[in-house]
Amino acid sequence: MKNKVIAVAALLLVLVLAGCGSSRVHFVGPAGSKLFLSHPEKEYTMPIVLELKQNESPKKLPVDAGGQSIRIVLPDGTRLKGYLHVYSISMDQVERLAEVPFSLSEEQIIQLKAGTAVTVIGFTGGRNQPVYKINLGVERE
Amino acid sequence: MRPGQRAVAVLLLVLCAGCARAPLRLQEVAVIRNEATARYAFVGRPRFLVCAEPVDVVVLGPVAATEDRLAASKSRSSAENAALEARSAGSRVEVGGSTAETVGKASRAASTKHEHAARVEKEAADATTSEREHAARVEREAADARSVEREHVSRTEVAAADAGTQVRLAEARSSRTSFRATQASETHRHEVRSAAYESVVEDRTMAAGSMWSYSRPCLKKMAATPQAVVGERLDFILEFRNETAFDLAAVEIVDLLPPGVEPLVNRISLTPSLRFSADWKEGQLLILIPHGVSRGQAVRIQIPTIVREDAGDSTID
Repeated sequence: MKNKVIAVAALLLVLVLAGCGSSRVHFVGPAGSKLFLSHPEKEYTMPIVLELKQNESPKKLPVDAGGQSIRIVLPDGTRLKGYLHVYSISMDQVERLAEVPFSLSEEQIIQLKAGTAVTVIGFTGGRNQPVYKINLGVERE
Repeated sequence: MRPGQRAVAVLLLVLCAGCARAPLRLQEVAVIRNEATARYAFVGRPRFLVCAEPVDVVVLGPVAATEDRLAASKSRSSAENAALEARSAGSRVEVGGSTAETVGKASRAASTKHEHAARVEKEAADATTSEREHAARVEREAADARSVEREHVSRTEVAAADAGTQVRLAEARSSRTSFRATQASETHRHEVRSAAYESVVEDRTMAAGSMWSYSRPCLKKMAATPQAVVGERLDFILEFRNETAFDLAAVEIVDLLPPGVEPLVNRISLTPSLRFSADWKEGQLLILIPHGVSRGQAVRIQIPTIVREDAGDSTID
């Protein structure tokens, strides 16, 4: 009887965990930038490490459709808008522990202000699996 | 042949004779250059600029017309011609006429030189990029080699530890030493393995990273034919491609048509069919796509024009 209860609990746990894969993304900078995510609707200040829910197949990496809405307000007031895709990948222990970084360099910010759309893709170490993709464009300077 | 049939045949002959024209002798009159720009925005009013490569079209005219133009251009003062030459060498439109050939050649030479310079610049940029890529590759290979070496060292240590353990075990078994000795060596092996695992963790954590790319809409300008005849229709084609991951809120295209080229504004068409407005003012054709262009979408705009006789007789400012 006790074994059965344990087995059912373990099965439930596995089912729950299977649908809740997440990836750790370290939003590094520019430091002081505000980050707004739509799911869940929250505001963060960079640098911050976030556990993001995996919701897309990595096969969709070349496709620019869907994705959750993301907004970044840079320290100088420049507003960026874009889409965030977090890919469902199976990570080993090492990859699960690692924080995949996201940051915007000076060059990228210049490109964004010139009207260019910037795409940043984060990869795991070792197997180079895509963890996230963020497409950004300038909304208002 | 019956009389009726004969009459029909004669009528046909007369008709054909009346329709027949002496073959038209055409000659290069001018080279016109056409440019276009577009403005776009992800949100709000269009403000980011994108330019198309200019397109050159050779204008052909009947020989008689060309001679008239030759006479007209001969009557121009030498000062005017010199100014025209100077302008055409560095500007966008070449002029027809007697000086047209030389001016045209000069401008073509300037254009070729410009193209060559651009090509050289591009090659240099490519070389720099490939050099940078090569350096990055070499660095990556070195890092890989270091990591492999480190792993190898760890593995060797583990193997050595294993060997040591085996030897000690054998010794323990043979000499029947205490259990403590065996336990100590097992612990040691475990420690070595942990160290090896940690080194792998460190390497992989270091390798996790990101890469970036950028994209922006592009505008391409083409002429339906490389040559146009005076008085005939000439179609220009503009292709606006939204290669970004975003829908564009609005797109505004300005087509700088050369003088003497008149657009048939009512016949402008967009493929796919999008809502647009076209306005022709002071040599500029303004095409506004108010609802923008979706991500990944390409819009082809066909602009029919009529080439007038005075095409290429002045410059665009």
